[in-house]
Amino acid sequence: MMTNQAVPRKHPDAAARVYDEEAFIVLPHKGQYKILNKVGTRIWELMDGARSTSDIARTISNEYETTYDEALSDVEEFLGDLRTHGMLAGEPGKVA
Amino acid sequence: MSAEYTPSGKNAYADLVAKSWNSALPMTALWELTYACNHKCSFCYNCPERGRRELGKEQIIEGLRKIADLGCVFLVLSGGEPLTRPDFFDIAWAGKRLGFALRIYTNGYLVDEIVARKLRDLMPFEIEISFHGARPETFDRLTGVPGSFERVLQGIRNLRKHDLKVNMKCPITRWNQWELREIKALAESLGCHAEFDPVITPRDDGDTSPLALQADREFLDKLWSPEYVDITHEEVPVPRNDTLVQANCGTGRSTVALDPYGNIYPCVQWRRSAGLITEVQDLKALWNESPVLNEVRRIALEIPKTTLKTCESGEFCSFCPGVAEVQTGDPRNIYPQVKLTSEIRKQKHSDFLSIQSKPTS
Repeated sequence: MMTNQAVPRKHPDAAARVYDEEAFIVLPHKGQYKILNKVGTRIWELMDGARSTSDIARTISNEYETTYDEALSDVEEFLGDLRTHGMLAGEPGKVA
Repeated sequence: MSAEYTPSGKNAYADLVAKSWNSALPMTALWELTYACNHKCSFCYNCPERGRRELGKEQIIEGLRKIADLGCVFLVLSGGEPLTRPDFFDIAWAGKRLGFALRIYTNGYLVDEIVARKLRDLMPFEIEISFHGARPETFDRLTGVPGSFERVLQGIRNLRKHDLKVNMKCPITRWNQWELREIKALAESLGCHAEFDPVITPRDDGDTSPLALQADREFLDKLWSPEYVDITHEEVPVPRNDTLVQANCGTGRSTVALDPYGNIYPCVQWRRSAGLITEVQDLKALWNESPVLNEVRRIALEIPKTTLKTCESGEFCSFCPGVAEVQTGDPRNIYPQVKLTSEIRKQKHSDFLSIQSKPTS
């Protein structure tokens, strides 16, 4: 369970590049790749190992003109997806 | 607002690749780290320059920094045999720290338990191992190294013990052409994926002697028939679809290739050097503005509208302008192998359509 003050971190094995505002993320430990849409890409960029979930939601709220609560809910849901797909640090390494 | 991760991976990936090709955003850098090799495959296309010094570790790592700035996500470490370099793991780790997903092309001969553990720690996206036959006599004949079959097989087992993803890549030759199913079964028994490639190319210096090993006509006729759908994954050869991308191929677009001396090429098959990685300051500027690369891109755009339109079986051509240039002197010329394979593929396509159109009794 991640609190708003937790700092989400990218999986250390994940390789990512942004092409035309969409992040292409390769997960060697899963033998998979993922593509994020523009907002997902922005959140991924904001996951710099220093910002908390709450910090990220605040930035998204400002940039996308949505309320903080809506942004926080979306960011948490998105981080849940990342966790499910083994894209966050702390996930056990496993080849699919 | 929607921040969802995109689960429709295949379509999204196809769109991204099309974007990479159409906008010349390279996703992959392939670096031949050395031409040294412990196999002696007679069909190998590499042509080392006698006496020329290959780049050192620091030069390569500096080059990798430039490639990371260019925006590639995949780094393919190839050769020759890259594991013959004593500094291979220093280079690979430098690539990993620069944020690349690694692919390693090796012959597997040096992958003992220690090397396999080091590769596991590196966690590459995949390892591609050249695999030449299902029987020792075939395999060793193609590599020119007695005992290589058993040793490579053990190398693959060592990698699989660590759950590393291994693709067994088999260039189809007339010596192994009738063993493909055995190779596939062997790969499956090891938990690997087998890939088969009927394309044998001339050497980079234009020497066409490797072509003598190409699969023969009798086999190619079968390869593109429904009988071999388990190998080709193609019930019937389908014509090219040039609607999503306009260029003939990804040359000068999807991949930047480098040789052991640091030459920068538009792809591994088309060796027109755009410069040396050790001398270029701004690789992105070179990639975007090089007259060599722009010429290559222009030719690749022309080919579907010219070469392939005038060739009777052009819509079934898997045409390589690099091979065309090295073999005929002109990247727009149809060369004998592509003519043969496209004719067979077109014939098989026609055969299929005629069967389909026959009325059933």
